Amino acid sequence: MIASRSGIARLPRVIWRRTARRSVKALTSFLAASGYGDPVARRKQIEEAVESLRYSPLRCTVAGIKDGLTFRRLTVDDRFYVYYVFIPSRRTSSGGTLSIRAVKHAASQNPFLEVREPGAHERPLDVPSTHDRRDLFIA
Amino acid sequence: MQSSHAVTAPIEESAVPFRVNPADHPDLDNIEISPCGSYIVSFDYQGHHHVIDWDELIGDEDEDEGMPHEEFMAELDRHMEELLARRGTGR
Repeated sequence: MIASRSGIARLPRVIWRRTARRSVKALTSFLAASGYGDPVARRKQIEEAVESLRYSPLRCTVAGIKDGLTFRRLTVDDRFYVYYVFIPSRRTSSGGTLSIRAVKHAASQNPFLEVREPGAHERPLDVPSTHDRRDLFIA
Repeated sequence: MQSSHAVTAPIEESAVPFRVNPADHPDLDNIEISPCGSYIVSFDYQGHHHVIDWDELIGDEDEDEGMPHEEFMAELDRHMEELLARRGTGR
């Protein structure tokens, strides 16, 4: 009530559903293990993108309506999709809820296709190449 | 009494006819829309084909509403530290 009287808009709170938490961890694990990208930078990027949604939760295009919920898709850095549902509040003292449903890599159907980010390692950290044992081939 | 009902009545979003308009998704190609027209089934993006897993997005009915943002970010920080430590030790 105080917020509405003073004209200060309440921002929606953000919650992460189980599937979203699982998908972010899988994504960062993949980047860390493969060396195809910087997991720390991507984590920060996703966090900032999600927090920006609080100021304009309806700006993203609607991917569909299912079970009475409107699912929207936020594209982050042309690489990640954040699927979310904005649930407005009926109370003026609340800004509603942003329910994050999933975070998907844009190449999730083929993780090794153009996943490598600029500046990433030349090859995955744990995958040996012929350069590792050049002596065997030279001999 | 009437105004009370008007405030508490649930919003029946599912009753509102909604059709996905491909023109609203200029960055996507080959958009396949569900027979009812209310959601995208699959699409192409920068040469990659994607199928949306709606069951995953909807989630489990028995799940609680989810984890607060700050709490999950702290959990993710711990997860990242473990990943980086593992990478540092070569495990």
